[in-house]
Amino acid sequence: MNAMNGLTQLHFSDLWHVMAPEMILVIGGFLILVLDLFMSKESSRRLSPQLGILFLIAAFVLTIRNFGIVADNAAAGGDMINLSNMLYVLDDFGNVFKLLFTAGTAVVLLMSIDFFKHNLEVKVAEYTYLMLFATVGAMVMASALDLITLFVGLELLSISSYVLVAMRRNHAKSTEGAMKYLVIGSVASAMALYGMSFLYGVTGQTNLAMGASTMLQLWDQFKPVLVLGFLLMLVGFGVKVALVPFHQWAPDTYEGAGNPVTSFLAVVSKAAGFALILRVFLWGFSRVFGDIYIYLVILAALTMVIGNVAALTQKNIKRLLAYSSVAQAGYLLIPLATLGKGSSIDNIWLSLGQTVFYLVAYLFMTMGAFAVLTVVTRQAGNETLEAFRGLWRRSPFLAVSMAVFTLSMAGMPLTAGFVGKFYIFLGTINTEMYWLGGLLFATSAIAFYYYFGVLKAIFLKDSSVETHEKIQVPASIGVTIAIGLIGTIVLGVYPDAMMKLLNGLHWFGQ
Amino acid sequence: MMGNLLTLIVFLPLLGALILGFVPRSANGQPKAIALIATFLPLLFAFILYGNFDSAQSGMQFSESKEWIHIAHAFQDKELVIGYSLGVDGLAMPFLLLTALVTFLGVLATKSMQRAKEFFIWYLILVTGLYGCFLAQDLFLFFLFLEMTLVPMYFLIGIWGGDRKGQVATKFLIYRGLASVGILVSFVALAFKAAVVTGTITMDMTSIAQAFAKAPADAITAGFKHGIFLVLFLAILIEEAFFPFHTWLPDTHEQSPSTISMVVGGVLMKIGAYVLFRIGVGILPDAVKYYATVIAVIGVINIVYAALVAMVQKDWRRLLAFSAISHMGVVLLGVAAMNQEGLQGGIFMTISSGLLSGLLFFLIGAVRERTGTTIINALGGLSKPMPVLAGFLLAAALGSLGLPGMSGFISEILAFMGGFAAFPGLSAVGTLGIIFAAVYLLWAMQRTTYGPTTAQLEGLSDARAIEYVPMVVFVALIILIGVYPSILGDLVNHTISSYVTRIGG
Repeated sequence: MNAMNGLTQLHFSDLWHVMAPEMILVIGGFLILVLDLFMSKESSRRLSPQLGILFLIAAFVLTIRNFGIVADNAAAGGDMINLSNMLYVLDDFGNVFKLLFTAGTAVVLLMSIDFFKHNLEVKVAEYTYLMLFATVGAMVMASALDLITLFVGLELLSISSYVLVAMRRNHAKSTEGAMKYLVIGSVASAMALYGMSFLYGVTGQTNLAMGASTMLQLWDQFKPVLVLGFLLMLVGFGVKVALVPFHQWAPDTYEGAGNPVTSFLAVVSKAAGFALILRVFLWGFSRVFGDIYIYLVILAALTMVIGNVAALTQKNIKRLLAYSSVAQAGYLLIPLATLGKGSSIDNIWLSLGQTVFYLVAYLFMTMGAFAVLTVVTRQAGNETLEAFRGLWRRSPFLAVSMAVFTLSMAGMPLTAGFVGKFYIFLGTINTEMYWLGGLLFATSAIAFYYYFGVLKAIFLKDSSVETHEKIQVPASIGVTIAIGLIGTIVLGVYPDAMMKLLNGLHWFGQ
Repeated sequence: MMGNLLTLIVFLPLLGALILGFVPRSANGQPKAIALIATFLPLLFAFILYGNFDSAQSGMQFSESKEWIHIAHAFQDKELVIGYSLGVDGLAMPFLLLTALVTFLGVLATKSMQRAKEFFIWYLILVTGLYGCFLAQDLFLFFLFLEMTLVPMYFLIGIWGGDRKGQVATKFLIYRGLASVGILVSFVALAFKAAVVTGTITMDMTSIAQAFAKAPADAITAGFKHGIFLVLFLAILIEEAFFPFHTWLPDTHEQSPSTISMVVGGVLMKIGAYVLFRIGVGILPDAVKYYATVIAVIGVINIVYAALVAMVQKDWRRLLAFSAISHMGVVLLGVAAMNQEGLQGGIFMTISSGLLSGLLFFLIGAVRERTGTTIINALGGLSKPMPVLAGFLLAAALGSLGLPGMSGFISEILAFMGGFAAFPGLSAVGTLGIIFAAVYLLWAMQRTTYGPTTAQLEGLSDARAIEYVPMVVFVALIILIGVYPSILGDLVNHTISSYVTRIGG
């Protein structure tokens, strides 16, 4: 990088050095956009998702390469690799999330191949490049250190998502869901931006790395304003990850969107929201966390309780999973919330490890569950729990897979969900927030009721007569389920490999 | 060879379940044969271990330990190593043998049924969970096995249960699910508190117990111990189905197939008592002592209340459930006494109640198979068509009400001896339970086996050859413990003495 008079001149090589995965996806998105104009409709429908997956894999590989770059830099004792005075950084925190986003989106596109066959009104090329752009948005949210850039990433993800939800144009519920998501999502973005403006107003900085130290000095003086800014951002981000009480859009939107899009919202979009929350609050507020963590604790508790209780009465399986995903957001907020009481820097590494482990576990089990759901509800012709009745007779493979995913979400032993929950739980006890840890597992016990309701339908009831035929599983869905199964069980039985990987990371470049 | 026996014991049933998964659904008899092997081998190994067990030693024996999960920064900059570690000591050994026996005899007692293959798959997974609970030396591992019992139980009740099976299966799940939350919170809180004292974090039960024993008085406050014990005790009350959290147990017994009733009454509901001894008495003796009066009062309430409720039960299975609750109340009284006799009586009663429950639920299952009912008033005069079954039922009832020469008697004597030393008044009230037990058991016996035999009960067959095995084995053990208590006492004495020395009782 050449620094001249405090200004930085950017070269393509600098960009590529720091944001290769992002760039490859942008290139891929535009390529698909342009190719669509020249190809026949059929070949575009066939090739676009495949191309999309290919670019996602490329981005995945480039991200893996980035781990090496960060490690070398850290070994050499270099400063954090960044662009334009810490506007955009390359660190393992971002890398881990990028792996999650690219892998998650690739699986979503894999599931989508089947979705396109049954939803001919969906424009495949648009769908695919929107997914790629949304992923880029998510990546920016995980890697930018500047509030403006972070916000641009957030909007790129959000706006792409609004359109993706509305893709099933002939579907009233799809339009309804998209509309709700658009209105609430836009208000949330505005709130977040408003909150950021307070930070800027006090510190005169939009950059988190530099603003944080200014803020620390001014904290006592401007505490009410800064806390207000924090709360506004929390509300805005809270909508994106569907924390209670900002979760109302989630069930409707999840129900209206096509299954792959729903799983994208549930996994990639939510993970991106958490990346943003961690990035902003850890960099901006970590040294004053003792004053503000209580809001996170309250939100986490509310989210766990209300998410799980609301799920109890759901009959529609997608709404049930929506509420379940709300509850999971509550669990995911705990690691951050515990930092308020943790005194040592080690607590930050623990919290980051917990969040990422749970997100990965969540990715596997949620993707798998949505894949199973796709096949089962299509065959039954409805999306209620009734669709699962007697599934063990119609398809033992789907039945056992769904059982594994559901048990993992419920937090049963030898699944990824169990280890993830236990891992998060350790942090609450370590910081002596016993009641929060107790609530984490107590609400999980309440959740047994509805998760086992799914299992009850699968194993305990016989199917109604007309749906007794065997279910055929399309190859792309089968692969998705297999990935989910392997991930869920391996992380549940042998989490050590993942734990070691997380432990070896240079989260913030050091 | 002794090195891996514990692992084999725990995982052979699970292996059996896996193998069963590949047996064709139509196969007849094969599932039961596989399940028999998968529960018999652990039984055999358990007895081999028993034969080689050195009861003069107080620590863990036949230990196996491997590092499993490394969690960095778990406590300050320290790494938490979660171990796959198993072991047996004098306290765990009787529970191990009880589990081995009841689960094997349970398979033996299982009648042919619909979806037999799936039944045995879930059953064997349950058995692995049960073994694991008693053998795990790591708190994480224990919790994992405890949770592992929930899922199979849900299906075993939910698929093969009675007419309220769905509701009862869910009730079982939620009650015990919540109980395990309390156990988990208190366990992990203990581990982190021990870490504050020792500087390193571990989930190993023995290390935590040592840390607590050695910790200076100001390092771990009494308030912390008392608070954690309350959480743990609350969980145990649910887990053990004590009043007022007892309602899941009668429901479960009433709605479960008789094999499952045997396992629930014989083993599963003894996990709570095991936790009470291992963690409550073993790690938090001062807290037990502090709350001794509360524990004793709750114990006596359970002894008397459950016995009174048992009197008005119309169904044998509900009667036996309340009878078991009443008996386990004696355990609380014994523990509250915190002296050698009381603790010993508590363990004796737990094991004795396990054996008796196993036998009684087997017999009631056999009666039900023949008569189609367990409603006491619908039975009558059974001693004529089935004298052997009726005879064993009488023996079991006598054992249960504390006839000298059988295990119930020695258990009650010990527990009440301990109880009277510490709480004379309460214990005197508690002895009412013994009298009530005689009333409800003998009254139910009288209505079941004596009197005129109704027409539809005549001509029913008596015990088959295979049914003699569980009956004879159970009765033999019940009498053996009754006339030769040292066979159990020698195992547990050393552990109990170490507890008692620590509390200075």
